[in-house]
Amino acid sequence: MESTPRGDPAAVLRLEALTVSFTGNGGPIRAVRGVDITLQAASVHALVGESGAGKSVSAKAVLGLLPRSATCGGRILFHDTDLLSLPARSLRAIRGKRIAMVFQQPDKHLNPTMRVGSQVAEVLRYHNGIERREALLQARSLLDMVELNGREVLRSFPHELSGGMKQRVAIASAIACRPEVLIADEPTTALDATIQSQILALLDRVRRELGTAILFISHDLPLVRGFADDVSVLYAGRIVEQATSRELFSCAHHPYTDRLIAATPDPARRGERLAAIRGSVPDPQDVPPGCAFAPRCPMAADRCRVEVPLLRLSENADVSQRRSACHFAEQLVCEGLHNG
Amino acid sequence: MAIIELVLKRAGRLALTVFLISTIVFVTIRVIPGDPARTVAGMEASEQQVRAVRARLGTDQPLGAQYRSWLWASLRFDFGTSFFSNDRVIDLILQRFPLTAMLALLSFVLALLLAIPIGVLAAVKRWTIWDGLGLLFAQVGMAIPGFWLAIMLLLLFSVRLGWFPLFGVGTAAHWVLPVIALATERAAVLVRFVRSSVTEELEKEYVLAAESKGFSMQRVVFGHALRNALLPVITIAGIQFGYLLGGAVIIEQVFSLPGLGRLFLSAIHGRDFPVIQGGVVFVALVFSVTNFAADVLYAVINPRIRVG
Amino acid sequence: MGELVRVEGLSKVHYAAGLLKRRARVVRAVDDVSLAIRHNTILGLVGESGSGKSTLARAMLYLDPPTAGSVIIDGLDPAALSRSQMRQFRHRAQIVVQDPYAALNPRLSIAASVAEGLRNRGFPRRARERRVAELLEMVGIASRRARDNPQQFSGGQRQRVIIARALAMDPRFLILDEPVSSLDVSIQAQIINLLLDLKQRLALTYLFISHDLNLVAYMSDAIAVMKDGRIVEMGDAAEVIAQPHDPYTQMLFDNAPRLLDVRPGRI
Repeated sequence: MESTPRGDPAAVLRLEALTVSFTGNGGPIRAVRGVDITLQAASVHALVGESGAGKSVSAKAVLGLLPRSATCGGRILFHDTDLLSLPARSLRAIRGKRIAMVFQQPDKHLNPTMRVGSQVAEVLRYHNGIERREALLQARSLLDMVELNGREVLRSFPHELSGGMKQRVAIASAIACRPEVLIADEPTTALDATIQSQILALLDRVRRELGTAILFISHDLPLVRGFADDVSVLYAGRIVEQATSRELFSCAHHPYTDRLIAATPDPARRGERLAAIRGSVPDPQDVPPGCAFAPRCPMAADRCRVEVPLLRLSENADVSQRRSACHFAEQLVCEGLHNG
Repeated sequence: MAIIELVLKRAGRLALTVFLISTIVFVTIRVIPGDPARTVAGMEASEQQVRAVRARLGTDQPLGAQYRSWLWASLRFDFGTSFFSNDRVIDLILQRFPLTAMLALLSFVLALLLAIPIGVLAAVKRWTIWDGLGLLFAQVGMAIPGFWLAIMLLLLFSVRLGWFPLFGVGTAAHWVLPVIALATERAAVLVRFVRSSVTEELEKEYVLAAESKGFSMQRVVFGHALRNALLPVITIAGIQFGYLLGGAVIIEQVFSLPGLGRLFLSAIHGRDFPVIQGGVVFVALVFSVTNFAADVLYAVINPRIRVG
Repeated sequence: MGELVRVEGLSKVHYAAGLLKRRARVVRAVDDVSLAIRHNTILGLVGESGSGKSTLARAMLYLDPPTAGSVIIDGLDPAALSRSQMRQFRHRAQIVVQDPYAALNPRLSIAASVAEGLRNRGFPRRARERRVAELLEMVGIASRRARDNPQQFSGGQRQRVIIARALAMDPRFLILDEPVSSLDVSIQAQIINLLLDLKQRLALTYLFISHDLNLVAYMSDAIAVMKDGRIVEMGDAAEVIAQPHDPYTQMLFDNAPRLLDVRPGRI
């Protein structure tokens, strides 16, 4: 924490010791168990991990979009305002205007009976008090900006558009008020490969042109590698490793990250065996004590099964601020770093 | 294009329904044991009198010819003349229909005005006292028969309090109690439907997306969810309108309103076959037309059908 | 090694008829596709959604018979088969589909699901039980869990059961239609390893369908790229990856994000 300077002017969003638990039948489900993230302006911070890691829950917590059964702890600082202690009305004024969100399935996240133009214009009318005609005009140029034909698409209904086009519409309505933060929850997972790269290019343009900080949620390591500036790897509700994308993918400092990379198929590894991680992700209602990854970890020792490893700066990191939550982070030998 | 196709399909279905109903009416009258002419003329009537009635009914003709002329006549809404008044059946029906239609329409509007807000409130405030009250209304409303409610309303508001006239028509006040009596049960059915439809809609992803844009609860519910939630309600409401026509017959009786109900009941009492036949076909037609209208309205409002 | 599968000129056409339209709209879901798969190899089939991959798969197995063209799998031409020979064909060519949650009957124990095919093949009870135990062991499911229902298994484990069920027919050819796309990376790797092991052990031949280019490129011997119902490029995997001829294929591979030179560590 000491390395995240307070009042860092570039930090727009900071999650501090965020916890989220849900009331479940067999006791509380602790979905997020202490997550610290700093999001810098005009940068992309990726949250990666497998299902149940707490990526989406953390993201939804930022916007207060969790169901009532959820309880949040810690702080979510937007500049210097703690969103968790903000009254609902003030939070709504930030939502969609200064912090916006794009979801995974564009065909489910647009209103099916509302014209595309109205859906984009609605945000402008609501937050900026712009009257209808003017808002539609601006919506049209926003649609143009996301590389759609605004004039044609304005009066379309969502079902008349392809998946990629719908995601562009969703992005247009998300960036309508020029938000400082854009939360993108697996925004390309439901799309075809060629469309996927177009959408990423668009998000990157938004980042550059509007200076928007992007919290990018994904399970796809190759995608994150090319797109994110910083990466937090989540496992069972905790960050196990945090580094710049370049550092992370040149050498993992946590066995989970390392094994995840080893399990990812790549043409360059044809003929090699994928390193499958034995077992499966723990049930959030029954996370093992100590390091949650220990039961699946090839390096696990007795200590790992009792003592929760803290997310700390690794000792063999020279200049960087990369952190790892592994007792034995220093014992990982990186081939990639040296073979590079 | 698609909408025209749909209208044609639904119109075809409508025509088929009405055709089947008129056939069933024709067959039923002929299958019922005994000779309708004998029934009409009375047990003491002479064979000659019966034969005269038979000629008037047309039942002396061969069956095929009877069926053909019945179909042809009903196509022109010519259901013959009443045995008792010698008025044309269609004239009798059209005379009474406006009152029944008005009663049904007003009740329909009231039912919707009650059901939509109550259903939406129950859905939005699910598992709270509001939801409980909404469901209680639905439960009680469905359990109480319309005619009983009508009698209770009469006893309380007309007899005891004297706020509303007892019987008949004339002023706006005459409509109040019959409309309430008729609307309550329909509203109760619709409340449950609106509630579940809105609940379902509120759980959809686009609602979460609307919330993520910072919209107020009202905006999310009324601007986004309701529009989609009411789509399936249209279809149900169309069917409910048909029920209202049926219910009106009884309510008219309670309030002594000179509508179709009265006409049909007295026709049944008096075995006025032409009026009964004509009445059944007419009601079936109205029922089919309202459903047809609901289907078309649904298609027009739903953009996915309109274009795709 | 010779070919196990040969498909020639296969087309699958749908007619979308309209009430008011005089001429029905013709949709060519699969358009004149020819391909061959050598014995004990994997042909990877990539393409975007709606390109006709799954339709091709179903047409090849005559689950939805093709409208034109021929298929020969392991010497059998399903178009020319009698009913009993057709059963033989269905045994030899099996399909494993994407959704491990929908593909198993929730009311049957996994053992019963796997045993179903064996019963149809006339295995007596004793032999059936023995074979089910073998199959489950082969896909890495502990036999003490044989009586459990699918709900008690994770997505990855269910996919293992589905694979065991397909193997119960002693197939020679498996069509794997997005078999791991709903699974987490770490679980995906387990299933992929399992499939590669089974291929060696049982001398199987695969048609592997996926939208994941990295995965297809990683595990296939040959690659076919499908677009709008046609195969636009087909060849040896290494060649297709290194030097795609078709511009669409080129774009597809250029756009695929990769881990590139990232190497896992040594633990």
